[in-house]
Amino acid sequence: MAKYALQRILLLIPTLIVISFVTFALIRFIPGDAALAMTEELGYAADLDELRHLLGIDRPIIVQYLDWVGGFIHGDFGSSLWDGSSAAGELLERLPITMEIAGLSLLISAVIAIPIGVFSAVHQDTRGDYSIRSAVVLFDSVPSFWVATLVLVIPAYFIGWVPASGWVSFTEDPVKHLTLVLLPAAIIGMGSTASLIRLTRAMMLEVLRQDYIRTAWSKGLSENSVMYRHALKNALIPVLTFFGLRIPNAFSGSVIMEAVFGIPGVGRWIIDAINFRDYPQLQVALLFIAVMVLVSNLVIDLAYGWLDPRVRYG
Amino acid sequence: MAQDVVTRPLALRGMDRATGLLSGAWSFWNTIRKHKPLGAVGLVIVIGIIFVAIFAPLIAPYGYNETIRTDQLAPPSFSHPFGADHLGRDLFSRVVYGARISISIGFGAVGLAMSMATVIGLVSGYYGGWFDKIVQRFVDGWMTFPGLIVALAMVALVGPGVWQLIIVIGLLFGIRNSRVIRGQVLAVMARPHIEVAQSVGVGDFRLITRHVLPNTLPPIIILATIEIPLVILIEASLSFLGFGIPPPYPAWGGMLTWEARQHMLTAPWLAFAPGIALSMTIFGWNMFGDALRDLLDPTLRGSRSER
Repeated sequence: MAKYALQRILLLIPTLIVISFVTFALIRFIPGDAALAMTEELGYAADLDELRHLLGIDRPIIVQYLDWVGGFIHGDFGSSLWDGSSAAGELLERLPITMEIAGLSLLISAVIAIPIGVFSAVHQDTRGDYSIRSAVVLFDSVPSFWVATLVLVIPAYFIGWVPASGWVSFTEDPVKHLTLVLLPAAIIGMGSTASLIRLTRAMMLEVLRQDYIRTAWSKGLSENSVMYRHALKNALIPVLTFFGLRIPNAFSGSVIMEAVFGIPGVGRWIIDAINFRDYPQLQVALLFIAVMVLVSNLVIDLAYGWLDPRVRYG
Repeated sequence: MAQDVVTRPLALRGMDRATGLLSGAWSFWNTIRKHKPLGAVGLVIVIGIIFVAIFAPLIAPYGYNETIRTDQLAPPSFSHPFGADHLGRDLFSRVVYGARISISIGFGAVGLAMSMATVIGLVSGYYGGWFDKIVQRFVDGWMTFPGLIVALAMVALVGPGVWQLIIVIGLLFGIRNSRVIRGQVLAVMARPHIEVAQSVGVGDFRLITRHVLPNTLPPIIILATIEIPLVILIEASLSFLGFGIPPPYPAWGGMLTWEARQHMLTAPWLAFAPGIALSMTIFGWNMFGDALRDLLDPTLRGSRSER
């Protein structure tokens, strides 16, 4: 187990190098650099070349890359080309907002999906199961940004109610904060709810056919005990992987919802960084998300063995 | 008469092939209708949308960018079944033309992704070695980025437009799919018939094209069908965020952007048609893809990954 963990951690190193190089190269090739945008929009400097030199984006790419990676060692993750603010500092400020929405969305989908999935599996091939499955398929096909659009438009037109948008921190006004966060989180969660119902149902069906479930029944345990204490616990192991795989999706969903509801999270930051060609910001954001996904995948793989002792690492 | 002798067999052979294809399609339709009725519904929707995309100029009563000044924000009526937008453009016509964008990006990007994934996956799985190791580390790194965000950054790189989106989304899915194809190649390579072929001295090229590739085709076809709706959704999301198809082109996602949303508060019908068209297309492909997967290869069940 320890050997496996070490192996996995060592394997992260080449992947990390790939990630850092991909982010760096990808972003540097975006046409129209920050200097161009700055002189065009703000007239920071009359001479483009001078400004590029000032910002250090006239050096060869490989030098810029090594300089950038070298900065990590003493905790310098670059600063915004526009206002000189620390890119990592800005990221840390915005991260809790996006994490809160992403976490809440996963929580909402778990709370809705797991009981429905269990119900659907227990009542397999009944009318209830069929209607749940059809609803899931239908749900799965509706894009979240369209749902967000409808939520903003329809109540506004018919009853004159517009959902709150913008941003208030939790410490300022907890109630207002929750009303702002819940709707986008619920809409993102809706996307994963459908797949989670499907997964829970499939896993429950598989587990319910196992011998130990028959044993539990024949011991005379109650239905609740068999379903929840014996079956569900094992059926939920793959659900853990599901949540791990959902993390990048939660970020993607968050980009859209933050744009629609005007929430100052990482997603909005990324879009702004792309628009303003603010390389250091975009790099830190991409790098951070990739590392987070990498680490959570590792943690989930390791947690697997702890949850299910039959899993052997090789 | 002499001409007949030469041409008739050829013509007959052509007809045989055509009727063979037709009867093949017919028996496929009967299978899917009998065993997967929902998949058949999906197939009908998919064919319907492709039909609409091909014959858009014949179906749409107006051009996609034809403005009728007097009909600005007109509610749904007989002459504008879905209403008209703030510039007085007929929404029905725009949605009909929008099918062209969705379908061409869906097919284009998936086509590119599959060709790329097949080449990378075949070479990587067949030859293995250092090439495989390097490529697999690269794919590992690539898969840690959220798809939509990578696509956003890449669209900023190449600019908006149909061709650009096909390349960006094709690249995004192609690199990911190469992992699946590689796995399939490794599985095929372990089968005895490959060993037999190798032992009688079949060359690499012939082995790949005649023995490995045909056996990896079913998962490639299934993956392609399952990914078309995902591609369509990513294109719509990019256009929705203002990074996809630029106006005035009638991309479904683009018709729901901030600019249009301003007018939706007074004309909510602007929000309906593009979203319904998009959801229906995704629904059709999802249903058809799931049915195809169950019919062709039940072991792939649950392999659908979103976004």
